[in-house]
Amino acid sequence: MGSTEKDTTTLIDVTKFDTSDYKSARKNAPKSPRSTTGPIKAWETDPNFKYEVQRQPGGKDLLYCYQCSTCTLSCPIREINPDFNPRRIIEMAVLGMKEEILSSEEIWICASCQTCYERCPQNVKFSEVIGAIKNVAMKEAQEGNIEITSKKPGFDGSFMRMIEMFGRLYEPGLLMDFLLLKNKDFNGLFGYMPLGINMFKKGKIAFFPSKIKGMDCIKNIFEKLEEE
Amino acid sequence: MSARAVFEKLGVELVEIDDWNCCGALEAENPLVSTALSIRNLAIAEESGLDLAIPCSACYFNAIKAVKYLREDESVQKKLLEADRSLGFNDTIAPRHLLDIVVNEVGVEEIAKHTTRPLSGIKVVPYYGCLIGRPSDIAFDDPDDPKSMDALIEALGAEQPPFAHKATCCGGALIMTNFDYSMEMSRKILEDAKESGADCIIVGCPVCHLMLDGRQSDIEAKYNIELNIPVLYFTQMLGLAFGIDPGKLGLSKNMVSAKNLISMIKGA
Repeated sequence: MGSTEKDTTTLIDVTKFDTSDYKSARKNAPKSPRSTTGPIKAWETDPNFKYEVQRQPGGKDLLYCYQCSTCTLSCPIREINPDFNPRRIIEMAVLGMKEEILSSEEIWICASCQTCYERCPQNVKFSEVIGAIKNVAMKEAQEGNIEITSKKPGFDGSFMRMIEMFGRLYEPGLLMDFLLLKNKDFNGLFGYMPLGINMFKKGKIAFFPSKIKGMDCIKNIFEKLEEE
Repeated sequence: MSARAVFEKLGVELVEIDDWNCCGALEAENPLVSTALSIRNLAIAEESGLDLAIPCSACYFNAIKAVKYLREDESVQKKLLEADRSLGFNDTIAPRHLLDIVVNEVGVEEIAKHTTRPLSGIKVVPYYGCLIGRPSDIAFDDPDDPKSMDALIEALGAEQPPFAHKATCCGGALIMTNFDYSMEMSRKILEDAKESGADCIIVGCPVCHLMLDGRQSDIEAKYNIELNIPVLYFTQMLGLAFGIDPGKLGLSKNMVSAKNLISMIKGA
């Protein structure tokens, strides 16, 4: 790290971000939906779940899947964590394993790279299907039917709150809301200070937020469309 | 900054749309909200009758998805209009990625003509990220082997070493929630670029730029490697080749210093 030209970024302990655990945990990984919980009990599954996913925007082509695994083998997230398995997510959805999928961490680590969408021989558009599943998950969580442990929906929520308030992204607000209010992550917030200060100095982010003029429209978008 | 400077040189007028809003990036989980946010911008642009030039791949992705969604399902436009009168879009203009406009509208010949300082001897690799080529039914470049920035590099007289990771995901979407994945994904890209002997990387997306430039020193710290490779938004590179003053190109805002690169180019 010899260069003196580099601007310091974060004080976050980057060594704690370790992906090697994912691969070594493979030995205990489920090989199919059946091996996590024993034989699937048909009376506990929800045959309507797949239709619920289909009804969401983006979910309609889920049933064309013929389980070829092309999506799974082209997924860059799976290269890092072999437990992320798009093919299995569809398998579980079709089998009606609603609660398992909706409360899994798995569905939140998709990076939206669209590679699965691109490679699928059946045009299932998995990147959109997983989006549809995430929508169902959030609705169910709002109704209190399931619990989501992943932090991603919280982050997405903080992001959207900033847009709802200002029409544009107010980055310091995002960090405050997500790290501090939602996760009480003082360390994380502190860790971002150098990057934040650097970005202020370079004029990349604003110290104070400013609202766009069309806030009425934004208000309408969030009030009337978010309930859907 | 650099886009404005470059387009001024090219003689193409860029009209900034008034009062634009955030597109929702990859965080907008509700598709109706995401569509509405993009359509608001498109509706404002539509009033001018001009196509909407979009410098960010994620915003571009949201805009083209929104248009597709509107075309496929009539009830969506109705729902948007019910929410707010200004959310009407008549599909008379197109959302275009800035790179698409530079390569396919302005054209590489124009770029070559304006190159007063050819980048001979400079090795540049193009990093496209995911959303310039994918999904191929709505994006503008090839999904697996995009070539638009390749054409620009050639037009500028620079060398392009072979680079396998030109369109692999940088993990930008997971930057704050699952940073371990993003770091691993970006590391592969940065290391490949470094090994290929590149002097710099050019990108077409600010999110990818944040991962490869803004978080480069975190990646260096984590994996104990030295990268020190400047990452430029593609119009910054165009600007340097056009002889535009680096101060006007916002290069001091890049996290990884481009000072060495600039002196190399001045000497070239």
